[in-house]
Amino acid sequence: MSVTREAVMALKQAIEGIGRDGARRFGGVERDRVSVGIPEIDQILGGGLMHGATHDVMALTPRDLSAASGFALGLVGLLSPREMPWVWIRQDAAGRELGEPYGPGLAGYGLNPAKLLLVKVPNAKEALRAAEESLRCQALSVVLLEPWGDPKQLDLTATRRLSLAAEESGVALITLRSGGHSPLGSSRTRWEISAAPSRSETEFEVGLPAFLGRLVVNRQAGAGGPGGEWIMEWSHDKCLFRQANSILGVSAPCNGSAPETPSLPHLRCAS
Amino acid sequence: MLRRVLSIWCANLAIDRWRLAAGEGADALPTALIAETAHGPRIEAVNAAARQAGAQAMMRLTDARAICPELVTAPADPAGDSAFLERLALWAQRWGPWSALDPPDGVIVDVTGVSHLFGGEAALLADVSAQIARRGLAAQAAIASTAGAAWALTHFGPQHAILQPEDSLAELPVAALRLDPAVLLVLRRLGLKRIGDIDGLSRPALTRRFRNRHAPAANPLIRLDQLMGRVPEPLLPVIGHEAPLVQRRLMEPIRHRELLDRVLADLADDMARLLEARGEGARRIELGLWRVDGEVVIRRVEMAQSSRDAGHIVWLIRGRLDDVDAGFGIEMARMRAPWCEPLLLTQRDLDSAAEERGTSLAACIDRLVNRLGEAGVRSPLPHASHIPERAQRWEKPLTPEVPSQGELAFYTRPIKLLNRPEPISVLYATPDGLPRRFRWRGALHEIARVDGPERIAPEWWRERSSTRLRDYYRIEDHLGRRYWIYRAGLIGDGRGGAPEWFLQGLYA
Repeated sequence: MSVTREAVMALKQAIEGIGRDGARRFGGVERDRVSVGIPEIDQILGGGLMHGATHDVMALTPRDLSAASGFALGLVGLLSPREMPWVWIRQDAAGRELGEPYGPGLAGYGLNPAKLLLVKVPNAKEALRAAEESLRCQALSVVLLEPWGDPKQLDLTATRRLSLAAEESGVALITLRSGGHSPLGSSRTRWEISAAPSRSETEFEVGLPAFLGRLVVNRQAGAGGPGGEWIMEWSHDKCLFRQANSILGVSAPCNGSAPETPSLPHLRCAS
Repeated sequence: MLRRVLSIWCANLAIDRWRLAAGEGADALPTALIAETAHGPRIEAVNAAARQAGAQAMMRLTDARAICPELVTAPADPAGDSAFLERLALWAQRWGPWSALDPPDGVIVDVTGVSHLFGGEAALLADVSAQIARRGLAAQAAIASTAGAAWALTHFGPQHAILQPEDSLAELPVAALRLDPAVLLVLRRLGLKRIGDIDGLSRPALTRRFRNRHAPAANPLIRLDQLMGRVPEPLLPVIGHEAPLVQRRLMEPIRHRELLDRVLADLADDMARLLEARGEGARRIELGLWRVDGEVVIRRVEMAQSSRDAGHIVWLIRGRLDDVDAGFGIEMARMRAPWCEPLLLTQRDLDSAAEERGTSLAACIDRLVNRLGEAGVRSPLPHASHIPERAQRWEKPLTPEVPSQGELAFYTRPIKLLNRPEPISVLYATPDGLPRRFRWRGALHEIARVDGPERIAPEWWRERSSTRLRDYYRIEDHLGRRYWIYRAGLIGDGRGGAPEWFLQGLYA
């Protein structure tokens, strides 16, 4: 049994090596990894998030898409230097349903909106094509791909293709998706994100954006563990994530115990 | 140096052009050029024979036919006339360094300090007459120190007039001031017939009479000052522009895609060489394909940055050729670059890694734009407005950023903004107080945290007076989702009923 495991580990190592050699052979730039900001996660990821790889960000439920896109933008902030352009590929439907990116908000989030190239595509096929085209351009730092729904075009072959393109050019690919039966493909990491209450003293202030993130797949080279679950905060001035586990117990909504129906006489409904 | 301006007036431009096209024989018959109007055909110009028979410009054709039943008509071509005039203006630069159009039928050339090349101003005018007569046009020419004076002399002065600074134009009629007919009528009713009559009046009286006429053609004082050279008269010079053009005529019409790709690659190579010789790069490329049966197919591509990379040009155009119907074959292909920008010759990086391994940013943008259209690739640019939805605009990528005041750090804005604020129903403790829960897209959200309000007043210089102010709240619901909502208006602000609530943005 243990022999088998050892064999499997050796094979894994060998496959890793092929991938890395391949990256060199194709001329991929071996850049350093970037720190996520939380030492525990960095250690599990084997030294930080990899450039030139695919990272999946999944919203746990469709309602968590805003939080998931916030987390994905955080990854963009980690992977993208301020002066490098990055691409956000969205389907038209996503813009209609969830709103368009807002420059002043992105600036407040620690990103440089002037360097954003928003690519709007009519369907998933065009999204894949645009992603592959963008991944060939080394002047970009990150390609954020946001297909709408669960398109069947984004299958194993397509994701593998995109991952190879990302490895070849050293441009990171982040796919932002809303659940579904998406195959794993060849992503290095996959995060499941749901919204988490922010940390604040009173109910009259909203703290830093917080996410409940679960690392469900971790296939980065030198990974130090299978995964985990954290409550993370995005600190926009440092452009890093921060752990906020300590507040788990006290983060219950302040008026979460409010009655279900507006029984109080002074509550009125404005429509 | 004293400025000298040459004015050329082609008195019968439309008829001359028609005669040159139709031949001398046609000119013997009384002919009128007509334009269709709402009240039937109207005569735009007549030839000498028609004028003798009694027809005049601006007459209705039916009236003219009553006088002269044998009147022959031909359609007027004002667009062709103005194009011809433009070419004439360029051609007229043989007498001076720059020229301007004087629509509808004149050209103005700056001849300051060039008359000695022709042996004096009189000789210059003689040359002008000779050259224009050789082209078969009837023209009047004059030289004066201002464009206004030269124009007056060509239209109302003697042939080949040369105005010296000390000469006076007082004897010319007021029509020589280039005024609108309505103003001319006013002046005639006032008994002012000659330029000298106006010049003799006291200035304040004229100023008062025409105080609210700001267009030069409606204000005799401005025209008079322009004529005398007391105020400058800006003229728009005509500049010759030559777009790089390469073409291939094909011995055998081609019908197959591989051959067309071959021709395209050859054209792109030629174009790249041509652009390199000029030190330019193309921003827009047009490919025209002439088919045997007379159809022309035009494909146009635009680039984010000037480029003369043949491979890139081919790549961009090839994507547009899939729907070309070759019909019986394509006999000629032509590539034009109507929009070029200077692009210096630069040595490639010794380790030109980026160029060899991947595409450049501009090329990547071009390929995406080529596929998805102009609106498919956009970059947000800040715009000077404090209304959230107006504070950013989507522009072409690589647009240089305009300097603007940065957002203040304490304004926390959402990362996504809905295209249009969506109405929500909100439960609140007191009408002016904090919201407690809201319903959006059918789901109920308990509000756990509220941050606000941040009051944003309407832009009164742009919007109607009934636009209501907005009180923005950042809120977080019981599951940790953060939204940006606002209440439009206040109770009793006199701009509508009870305030309504909207959800505008989504935070991370």
